[in-house]
Amino acid sequence: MIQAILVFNNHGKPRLVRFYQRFPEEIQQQIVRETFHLVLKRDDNICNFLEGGSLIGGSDYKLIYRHYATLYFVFCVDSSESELGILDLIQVFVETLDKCFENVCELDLIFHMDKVHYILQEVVMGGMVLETNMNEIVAQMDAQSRLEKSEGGLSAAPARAVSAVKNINLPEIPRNINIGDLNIKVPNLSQFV
Amino acid sequence: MSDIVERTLTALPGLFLQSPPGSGPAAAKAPFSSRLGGLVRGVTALTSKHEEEKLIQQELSSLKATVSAPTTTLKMMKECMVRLIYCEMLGYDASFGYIHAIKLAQQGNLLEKRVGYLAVSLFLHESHELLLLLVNTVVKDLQSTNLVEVCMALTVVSQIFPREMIPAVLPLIEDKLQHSKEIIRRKAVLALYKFHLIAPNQVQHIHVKFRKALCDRDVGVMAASLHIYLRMIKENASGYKDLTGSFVTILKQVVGGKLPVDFNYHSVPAPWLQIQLLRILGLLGKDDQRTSELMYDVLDESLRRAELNHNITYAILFECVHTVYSIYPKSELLEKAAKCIGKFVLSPKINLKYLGLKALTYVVQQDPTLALQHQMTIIECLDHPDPIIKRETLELLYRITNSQNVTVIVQKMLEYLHQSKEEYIIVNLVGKIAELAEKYAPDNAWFIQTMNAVFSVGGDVMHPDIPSNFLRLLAEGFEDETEDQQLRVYAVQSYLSLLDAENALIYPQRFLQVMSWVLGEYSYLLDKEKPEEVINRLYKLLMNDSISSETKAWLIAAVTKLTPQAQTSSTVERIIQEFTGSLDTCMRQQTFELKHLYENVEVMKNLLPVNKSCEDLVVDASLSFLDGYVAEGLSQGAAPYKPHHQRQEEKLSQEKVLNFEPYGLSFSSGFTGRQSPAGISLGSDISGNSAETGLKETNSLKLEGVKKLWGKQGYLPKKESKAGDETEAPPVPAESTALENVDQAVPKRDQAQVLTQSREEREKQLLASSLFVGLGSESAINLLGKADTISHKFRRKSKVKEAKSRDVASTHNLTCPSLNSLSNVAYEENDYLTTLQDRGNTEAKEFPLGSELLVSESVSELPLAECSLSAPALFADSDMEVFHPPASAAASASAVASVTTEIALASSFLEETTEDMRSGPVEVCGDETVTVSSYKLWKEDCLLMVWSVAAKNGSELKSASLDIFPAENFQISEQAGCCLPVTEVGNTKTFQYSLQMESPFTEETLSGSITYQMVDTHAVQLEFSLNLSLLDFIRPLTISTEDFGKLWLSFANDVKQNVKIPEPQASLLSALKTLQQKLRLHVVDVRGSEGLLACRLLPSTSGLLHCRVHADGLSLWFRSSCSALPDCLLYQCQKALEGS
Repeated sequence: MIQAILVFNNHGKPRLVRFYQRFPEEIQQQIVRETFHLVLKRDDNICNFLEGGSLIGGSDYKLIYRHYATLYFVFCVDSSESELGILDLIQVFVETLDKCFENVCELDLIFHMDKVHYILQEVVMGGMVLETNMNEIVAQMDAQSRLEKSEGGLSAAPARAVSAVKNINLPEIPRNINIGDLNIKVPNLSQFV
Repeated sequence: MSDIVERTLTALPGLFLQSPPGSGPAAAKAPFSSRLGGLVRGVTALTSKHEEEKLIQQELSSLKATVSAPTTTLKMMKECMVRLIYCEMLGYDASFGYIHAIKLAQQGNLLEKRVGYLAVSLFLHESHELLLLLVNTVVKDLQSTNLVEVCMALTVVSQIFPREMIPAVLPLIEDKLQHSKEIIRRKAVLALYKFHLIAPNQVQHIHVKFRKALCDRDVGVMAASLHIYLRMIKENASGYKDLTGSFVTILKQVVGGKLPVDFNYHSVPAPWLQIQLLRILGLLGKDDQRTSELMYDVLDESLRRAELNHNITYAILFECVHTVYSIYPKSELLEKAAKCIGKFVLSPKINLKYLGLKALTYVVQQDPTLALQHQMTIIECLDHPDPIIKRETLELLYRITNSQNVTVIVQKMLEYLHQSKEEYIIVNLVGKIAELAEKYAPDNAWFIQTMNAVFSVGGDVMHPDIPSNFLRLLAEGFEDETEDQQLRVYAVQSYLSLLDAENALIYPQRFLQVMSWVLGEYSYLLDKEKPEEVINRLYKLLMNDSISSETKAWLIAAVTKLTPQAQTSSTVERIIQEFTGSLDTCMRQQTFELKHLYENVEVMKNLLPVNKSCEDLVVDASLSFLDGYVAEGLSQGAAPYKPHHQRQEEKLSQEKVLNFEPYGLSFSSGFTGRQSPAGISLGSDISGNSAETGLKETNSLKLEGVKKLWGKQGYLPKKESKAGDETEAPPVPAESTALENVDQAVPKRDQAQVLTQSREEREKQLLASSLFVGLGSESAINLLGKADTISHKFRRKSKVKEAKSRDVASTHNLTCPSLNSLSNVAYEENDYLTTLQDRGNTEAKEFPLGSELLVSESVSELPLAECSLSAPALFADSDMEVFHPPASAAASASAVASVTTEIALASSFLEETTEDMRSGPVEVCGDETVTVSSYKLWKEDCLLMVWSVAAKNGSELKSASLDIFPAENFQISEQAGCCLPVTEVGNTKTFQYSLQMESPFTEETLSGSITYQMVDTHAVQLEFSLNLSLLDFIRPLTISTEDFGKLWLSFANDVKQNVKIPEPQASLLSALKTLQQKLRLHVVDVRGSEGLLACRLLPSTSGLLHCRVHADGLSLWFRSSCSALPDCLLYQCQKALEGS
């Protein structure tokens, strides 16, 4: 399970802080600072995994991070996650940000903090990996931003807006679920179905 | 502040005007953006934390005013909320806005709701009271027809939801499992998983639905359900065995590329899904052969498919390896997995190296040879700049520790320990070091010193079991009484010297407590230290303010124990004076006890006998010594004593007015208090007794308290207890230091011989040999006879009769390093020899000395002979008793030195020759006038065949020509006499052909014809044929062990075979020797029961051989890049070994 996702810049300024495990407010800040110092010490060419600081629970937890230009993306996970898997999940997250913001930079994260959170919600939900398919995530975000647009345009006529919004469904994303081909039907489970 | 931010901030106004694409319409965003922008700009422009704080507080107070103003619209509220989130992220309290966030989620339209939910999930936690206000909103949204609202509700539920309100939403979420949109189903599954985590009993009834989710037609939903299954299987694997088939089927389909291309990531099908499934399979197949068999195929397939060189394939490979090693083993898979681990470990990418080490860590117990294979990499990792790699390496070393490498490994751990500051690392490492030291300590001095380091570094954070285990070990001892005494003496000595040091006060309290206990119990063992002096030292500590009162209690207890041994001590009196007035009641109590005892030395001596910490006290439970007193009392008319419970019952039956419960409780608590080691506050437990008996009882009880902690049987009274003193063994520390000298002397000699390798490299190899010694299962037997019997030195009370344990131990100490160094010498010599052979192949016959030095066995014969030991005895199944340690270190050192000189001589001798190896001439054909003979010359790059035609009776050979019939396996080219100084006399003619092999074979015939013409006759043709074997084309391949490892992993063709050989234990070396001589293989390395050999098939195909001795033979394992070579080599090896 993912315990926390932290994004901060090269100076340790938090840009995105999301905890999936409960920590008191001040401890959260300390964790961000501690993690920043742990990560900052490390060269770019050494390994991307390190043990969590003492605040987050010591060696039972791993910090997995990637460094992009001015930003550090740090995922704090427990032993049930695959290190390399998470490393690529960070990549997926960042690539998705890039697609949604078109050449994402630190400023996008500052000024569209809420949107970054929404994107993250599509990738990780309650500490669980929800979706790793970039196109799918982008499609979800597009749907939401369409919603935003219609909202903005219709704000003068609230009644119509509400009905319009109600009609907006999530788009049909072509997931190509070719059942014949896929056949994830599990044979010996028929009694439960 | 960030440069980039600053730079861009100057361009901010422009940025907002032109509305970046994808961020929504500028009109709607403008007020919000500019306000948040203003805030951000303000924050980034500031230089100090203090100013930032001021600005944010200002912002917060204006926000506070805005949000609580009744005129604020929801839209404005939405913008405020984002700013609040920003402030919270920076660590400022925005709790006034929480309620508004909930309100926003409740009342807003979709977009506002979204911000509201986000703010709630960031601000609040599961047990926050305000969260209850959200429940209604969530329920409403879950029932909404708008999918976006449902999604938002599900998301917030999976982030935070009050546990007690689960029943309110559970049915709604269950319904969502049947929703037509897969995204809703997926989120519902995860929300249920969240419920399973926080309140497992509430979702028990929907396990069937989880199964349905597993069979969902959408892959995403199925993947989400795997989270749940992974968790549940981790908790209880046996309950889900029936699902194994399903998981295997799913994985098979995923691996087989049956998923839509959408799921590919870098053209790997659904990697995260695969990882999850592999983990689940690993859990299911653990220790279960039948279940494991189901998954062998798919694991094999996964291993095979994951070939792409991308991070994510490595992630899958790693999980595969993990699974293969956790399920019921299958040798084929294990082999493949081991190969994969090799790939990881040898990878230049540090992430992969780290994972490789991690994998090694958990497979090393099953397969220690794997660590052996990568030992040089492991050594490099020990000095890696990345502390994480270092730690993982130490973890690995911890797993492979044995009695032979413990000193090196513990030293490495201590080095790391001194550098690290993290508390959890210290606690963890200290525990491991203590465990290793206890298990494998080679000698007393080392053990005590290591434990000292543990106590002084681990100090007060370490696990309390460590000091108590240590003290118990010291008190109970192990097999041998003299050994025990020695250990205790050493401990006492070492502590006294530590206390004498200037900085004695910096030791952690726990360490001081251990010291005081040991000094109190065992300082009598030291002849030269008077107990008074020890008391003086303890007094010095007692008077120090930085010592905690708990430690002081230990110190006083130690002083009390020492007092009867010291005839008179002014210090004791001083202590009594100082502490009778102590404000600490516990100290005061103890001092009073000491004071009274001090007045009656006889009683004290009886009470506190020396070295009785493990003896059980005789407790006269019937208090028979008081019989007279009781009789007297009765005769004077006192009421007979009734036990407590009887009195209680009588009272209760008479009147139910008073409740005596509290008194009963206080009694029982008094008794538990006695078990504290410091014997605190015992006097208060005794009531109603006369002063004298009370005192006596107090003390005896207190003693019992002290000793009980370390005793074995607790309160059980022993029938007989002899007060007779045990004979004290004189301390024998001198011997151990002598042994140390030997230890040091030998490696020095060893280092002095380094000629070819750089010093650093050599050190690494030395380290490797000391780290990995004894890793192979039989190696300990091979090199050290029965050294294994002493591997668990401090194992308490083992069955082994260890009367001679010390003898054996010292022999072991001595022989181990010297043997190591000798075998190192031997290997080096091998290297020389092969390099020499390469330079100019030597005829073994001509250099008997060289051949004698071929293998280590003969080398080791030299020094061992001087020690009046025979080499065969050493390498045969020798008993340690055969060994008589050399009288002095000098003997063995000089032995080594003599070998060195001899080797030097030999090598200089060898260097002079440049001649190639050649066979003797063989006559291949002939007639009455000529003989044709041929010989082979095994040149480095080819086989050179030389035929010579010689006329018999002195008549002159006019002409001769040689024709070789074409053979498909050879490539033949004529060498015009350039390779060999040939004596071209009139009556002989020589032909030289160089041969190369086209494809490997075991034996092939080369035939041809010779046409000659004598001066006076016509031409005659003679036919000949001769056999060439594979061996003619095999050359030694000189490579390092590390290169061998790399090559080994890179070769795909392998053949394995067991060969029966007589006396397998003894004959690894002789077998290697045979192979080296007969097959011209190069001995790369010998480790315990294993040997590595390498050869080169001309022109450039390499073949590797790994042999391992086991109980009933020798297992040979060939690998090569050429598919036919292993088979051919195997045949030759078998032939050679059978022939020997």
